[in-house]
Amino acid sequence: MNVVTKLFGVACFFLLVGCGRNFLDIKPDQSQVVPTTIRDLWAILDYTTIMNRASGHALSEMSTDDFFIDPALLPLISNPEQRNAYLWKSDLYEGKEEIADWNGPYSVVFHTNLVLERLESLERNVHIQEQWEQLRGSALFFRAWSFHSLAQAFCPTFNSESAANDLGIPLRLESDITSTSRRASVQDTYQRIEKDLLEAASLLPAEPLVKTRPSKAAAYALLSRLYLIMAEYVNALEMANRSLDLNDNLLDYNEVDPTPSYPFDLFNAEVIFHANMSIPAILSASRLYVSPELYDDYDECDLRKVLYFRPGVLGHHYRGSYNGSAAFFTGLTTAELWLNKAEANARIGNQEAAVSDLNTLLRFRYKRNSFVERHVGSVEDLLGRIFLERRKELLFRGVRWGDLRRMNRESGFSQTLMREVGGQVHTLPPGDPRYVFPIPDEVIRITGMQQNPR
Amino acid sequence: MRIEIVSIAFLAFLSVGILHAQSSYTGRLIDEKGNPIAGASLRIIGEFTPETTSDENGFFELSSISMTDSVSISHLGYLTQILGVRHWKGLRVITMDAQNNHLQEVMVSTGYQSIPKERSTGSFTYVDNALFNRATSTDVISRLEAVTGGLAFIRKDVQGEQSTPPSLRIRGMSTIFSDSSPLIVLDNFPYEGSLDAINPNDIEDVTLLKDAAAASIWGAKAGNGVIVIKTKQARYRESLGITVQASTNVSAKPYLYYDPAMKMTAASFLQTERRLFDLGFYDESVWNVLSPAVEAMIAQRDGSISGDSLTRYLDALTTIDIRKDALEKLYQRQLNQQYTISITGGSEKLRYYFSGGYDANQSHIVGNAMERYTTNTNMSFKPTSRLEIQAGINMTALDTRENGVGISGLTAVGKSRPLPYTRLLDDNHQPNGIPHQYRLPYVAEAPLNGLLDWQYRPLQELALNNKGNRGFDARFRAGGRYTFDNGLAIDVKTQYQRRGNNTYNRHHRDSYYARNYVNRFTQADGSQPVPFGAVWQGNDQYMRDNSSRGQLEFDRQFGGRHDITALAGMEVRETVVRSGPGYLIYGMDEDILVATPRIDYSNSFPMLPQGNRGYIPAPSAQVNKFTDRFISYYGNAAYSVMQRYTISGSVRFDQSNLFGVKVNQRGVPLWSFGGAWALSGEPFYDVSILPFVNIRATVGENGNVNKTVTAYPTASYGMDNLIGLPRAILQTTGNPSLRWERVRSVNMALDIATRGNRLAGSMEYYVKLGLDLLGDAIIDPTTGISGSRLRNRINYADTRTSGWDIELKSKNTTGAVNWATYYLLSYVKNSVNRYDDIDATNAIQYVISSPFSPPIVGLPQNYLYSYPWIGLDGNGNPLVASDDALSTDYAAYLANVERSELVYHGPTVPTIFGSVRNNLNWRGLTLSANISFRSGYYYRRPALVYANLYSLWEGHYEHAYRWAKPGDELLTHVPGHPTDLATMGQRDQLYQYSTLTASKGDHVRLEDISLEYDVDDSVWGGTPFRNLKLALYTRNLGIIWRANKDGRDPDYPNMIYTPPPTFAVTLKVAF
Repeated sequence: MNVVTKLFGVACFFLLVGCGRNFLDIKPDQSQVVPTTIRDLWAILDYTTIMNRASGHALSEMSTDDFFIDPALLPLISNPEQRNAYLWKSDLYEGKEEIADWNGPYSVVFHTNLVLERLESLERNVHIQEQWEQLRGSALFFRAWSFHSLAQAFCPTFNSESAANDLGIPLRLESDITSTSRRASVQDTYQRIEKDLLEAASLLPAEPLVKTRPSKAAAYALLSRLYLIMAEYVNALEMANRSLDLNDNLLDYNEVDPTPSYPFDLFNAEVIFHANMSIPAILSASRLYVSPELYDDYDECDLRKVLYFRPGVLGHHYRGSYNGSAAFFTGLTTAELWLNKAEANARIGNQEAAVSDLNTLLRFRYKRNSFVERHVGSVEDLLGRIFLERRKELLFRGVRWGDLRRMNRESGFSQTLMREVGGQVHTLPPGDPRYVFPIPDEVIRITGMQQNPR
Repeated sequence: MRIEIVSIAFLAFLSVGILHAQSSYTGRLIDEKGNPIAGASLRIIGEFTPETTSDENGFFELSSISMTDSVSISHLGYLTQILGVRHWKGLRVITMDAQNNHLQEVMVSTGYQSIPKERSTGSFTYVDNALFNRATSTDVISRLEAVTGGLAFIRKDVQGEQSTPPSLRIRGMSTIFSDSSPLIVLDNFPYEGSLDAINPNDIEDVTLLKDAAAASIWGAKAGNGVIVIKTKQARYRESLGITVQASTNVSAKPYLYYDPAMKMTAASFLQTERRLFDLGFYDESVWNVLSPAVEAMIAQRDGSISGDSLTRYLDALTTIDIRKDALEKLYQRQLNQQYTISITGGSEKLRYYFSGGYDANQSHIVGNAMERYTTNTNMSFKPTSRLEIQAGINMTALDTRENGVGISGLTAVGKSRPLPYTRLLDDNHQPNGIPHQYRLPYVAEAPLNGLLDWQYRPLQELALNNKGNRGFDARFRAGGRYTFDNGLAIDVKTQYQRRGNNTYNRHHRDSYYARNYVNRFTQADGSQPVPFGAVWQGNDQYMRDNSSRGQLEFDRQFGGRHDITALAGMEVRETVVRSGPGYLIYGMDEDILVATPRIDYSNSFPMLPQGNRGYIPAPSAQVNKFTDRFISYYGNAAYSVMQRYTISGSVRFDQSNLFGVKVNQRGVPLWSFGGAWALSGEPFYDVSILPFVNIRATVGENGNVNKTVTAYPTASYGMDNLIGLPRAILQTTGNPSLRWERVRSVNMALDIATRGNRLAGSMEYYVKLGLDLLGDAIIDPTTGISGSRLRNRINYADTRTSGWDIELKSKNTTGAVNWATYYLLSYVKNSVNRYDDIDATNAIQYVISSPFSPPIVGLPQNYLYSYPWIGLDGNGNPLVASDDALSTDYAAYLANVERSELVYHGPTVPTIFGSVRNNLNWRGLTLSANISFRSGYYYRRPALVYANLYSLWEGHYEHAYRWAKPGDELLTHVPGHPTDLATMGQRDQLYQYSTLTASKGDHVRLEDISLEYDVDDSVWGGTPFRNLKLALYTRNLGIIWRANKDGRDPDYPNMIYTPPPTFAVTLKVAF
């Protein structure tokens, strides 16, 4: 009996001793981490579904004058904000919540804030310094990228005289979800974007590992776009030059095979930074027709006329996305920089340089030997020409809406947009409050922040 | 010390005003049939006097007894009785009840110990072997339905045609987002995964642990109650017995005519299509699948067929009813066969149980089947009288095949029902191609465009896919128990479980799946990046579970009056589940089993038909590994005085490897406390009509583990498909102030039995408070938390569940014909008590509450709200009242509607439910029928939703009763076709979720009938068998009465068909 008792005693003892505190230290899911290391933080920024595909240009693309859809099909669009954005209605959402154009970019902001905070708590040493800087630069870029797209949609366009008083967007700079969101001024909004981008440019590498990651060239490219919006043309030119110094590859459209349904490759040579948006039903490849007047603006020997479009029943469908599919590419390209540069040059009086910038780009867009170089006219003509080329080059890239808002600042370029559906004419005159989208209802309800007038 | 005080207090209480005269009493013991009971022992409780025994005529005499005393009367095979003698005059005749048919006298098992139910304070429901085996089934759980008090089977969320298992609820639901299913314990250890691997013929009995005291021993996993299942054991000194059992279970074919969508006639459907076609509704892109009728309309419009032939074609379609073809070709009778052989026996030192089982099930869907092989071995060995060593092995091989087509296989991609005029065979009686993914003309001309045949033919698919699952499950158990002289015992148990699961999906090269991939990736130059051949996919899952426990037990009587039962122990558990990476191979030649090794996964290709670029789906490059670890310390003790007063208490501390939490958040202490009072044992108790009365009460706290919450932000690694780099998806934002969910419960119970146990039963009242329940708080999306990606999970709600569980057994007749009735009645009321969240929800969310209803303080968790129904206007549109005026401005109405304007119906789960089971027994023949009822709840019936009809091909027979012309609004409530397609969705919603479609769920159902003929040698004598049993059993017999008038089964309102009736024959022979 004693032997047995002892055996039991020993068995129980081992049972009790066999498990200490570290028995519970194992992770329940091995792929799960509390993000702390450099690798973890890269992995968060490399989640492209959020970081590169939630850029939030849907409302603005649906509101541009670059397309129309069969009026008979309009009632079939079940999403209210799609129908209403198309017709520039005052009430966009009709009570619908979860507006992707707002939620997507702010989701990116949350991720970047988390990465920035985690970086601060990392112990820094020479081994990680380079990665640390690139991560910080990337996070700052992504945050600025999101703030920039929000600013084009949800606050008035930049006007240096009123910017300090115009309502901007909430600038969330920390990941703490308990702090209340408040709207900053337009001036603060742009200053924050500028500051973050300048710092990012100083930290980022010249060449990214993949084009979904930010780079120095990307930061300069976005700065160049930003300064055009802020009407700081010298800076816009400077930034475009800096970016092109790092990467000035242009695709020669003569060498692009027009036979595939979508002729352009993902991550092609012109792409500086990749972003794309998923297509709302109203912009789907089979519904969207390019505005006839825009289509007619392309010369017969303009290769884009074939590479960007395919014929459909009521006109031409779009197929020119740099995403290699129907989804719109909304990232940054070298082509845009040549156009930024041309505009900036024209604005500061370097008309010759501006024309030369324009020709540099267009040479790659026209059939070989058919391109006739443009020549200098008046500044107004030149700018008009550049705006037209921007529209022809950057259609469905998340740029047109911002350009329309900029052009509205100058009486010479402002225009009234018009759509006729079912005998009713819908218009959007320059400077109309409907150029600013309303902030989603639930945000107003929860935070009490001020709604945009419509 | 404390014990003494308690007992002294009790004694003092009892002595007040009671005489202490000593005298003698006489009596006679008889059984239920009036036969004398000889040799029963009678003992005065608390005295050390020698026992008295009854003589051969059942007479006895007790001397030296005081009026304050109680007498315990016991005899093997009979229930022990305790009687006070205060009012005992003259010769007293006492009826003793046979032990086996008494509700109380059971040993309930908690998985840690077995205790006599009469000495427990907690709430248990016991399902004995006979009751468990009343039903015939392949699985374990379904046998508990409608025979287990307090256990509800909830099916409100099951949809479609696959029989998803119901969710089980013991005493309601005390959580919102955490797991609400009860813990299942098999042979003393928690069972991981589905119980399909268990042969029900190996089960001895089942115990439900319902309150804190019963379940507290399971601590942090017991918040939802516990179901304890025990497998069979032999007894020592039991002669060798062999039992062979065979049963066959056949069902009717499913009743496809139950589905209101498919009840819409082909003619109605064609009418709708014509209308939509004329409106230009259909997107004619090749990748947008259209019906053959619409294709014909397009062909006529484009001039390729004449108007006459279109009319003829459409007329021909109206005569087709897919349900007929489907019933004939795709459905069959379910046929389940089950064979079990078991061998039991025991000597002085060894007892053993061995069984082998084989199940072969053919589903009611042609092509779906299941095979199961089980063995079960339980052995115990007693080398000395103090030591027992136990060992057991259970092994199961489970093979399922899922090649059926069914209704879902006839449904085109992105649609929800097949077209009513779908034909399975063409004019030449060959398998017919039906619309599936792309437009039919495009599919038809595929071979001309250098592509493979692109048709989808359901009847052909039946033979071209091989999809299934092979599982293997083994459990090894060992344990030892050593008992000391002084009532102490040491018990050690360990279990190792291992499960392997191999799912496979092999698409023959001629299957649609394989051809579709080849075609989609076929390039303009005719090259095929996906080679023509079979596509094989599969995945392996592996699970291992180690559980060990050591406990010290103490069970002793002191001085004849005091019983102490106590145990304390520790348990360690680890469960590891690993799955992946699996395989995916293309171009397999199934003759020689060689596939194409080099597939270009890294370049994108333009894909047909849209032309967008895409990558060939690559095999997964990821392995998942999940590890759960628990360490628990527990103890419980019960103390009874004179078998009248019992107090019990328990504590448990659970720790687990929760991730992303602070160390002190890993564990939670839980406890319970209870007491019982055998009132009828008191000397002063003299209610002869109720010889047994027992009162119990408990209070305690259990927990509910939720692994999805963390104090720190966490992320999960995977591969980013766009760039091929590792990416991490944030899973939680982290909330440093998180607490564990707890369930505090109070249980009060009364057990009674009338004389001769004519009526015996128990009544329990309980309150369960779910505390600090976790949920997703509404949050400003500007924070970055929105949609389903990331949530703001906080402890935000408390719930209160209260109710009654009543179990009653009545012996209506005894003698040659035994008729007994068993009543089960449960009432459960659930409400949200606290909800810490801003009330920022749009009122629409209260109506469209599937799958989750936002909590509302004061209302149950599962509730039903509707839009008020006003009626139709002169154009067949539903009217809404906004600003005191009637309108059809749905957008404005839905944006502004308040909860107070909605109509509240009630909960969506039954609040009153139970069953009445009658057993009629004559000689070896037993007839039993079970009638169940569910009441006090509502459900939403399907309705005509135009958006679904137009885009998903899911109509509703109500279409025939819709508004069609002005004036109809006085006759019908079904809206007419919408004229404004833009607001169609909102308009549909107002009808679909109106008060018209909310129905009362109350109904009475004939659950089952069983007829058993049990022959043992005592009845017939001279049979070569020890026992022979023939049982007939039929189930799913349907509804006897229902409150609703819409013909729905309230348990299955959204299913395509209800489970068909089954009929089973079982033959059991024991040698």
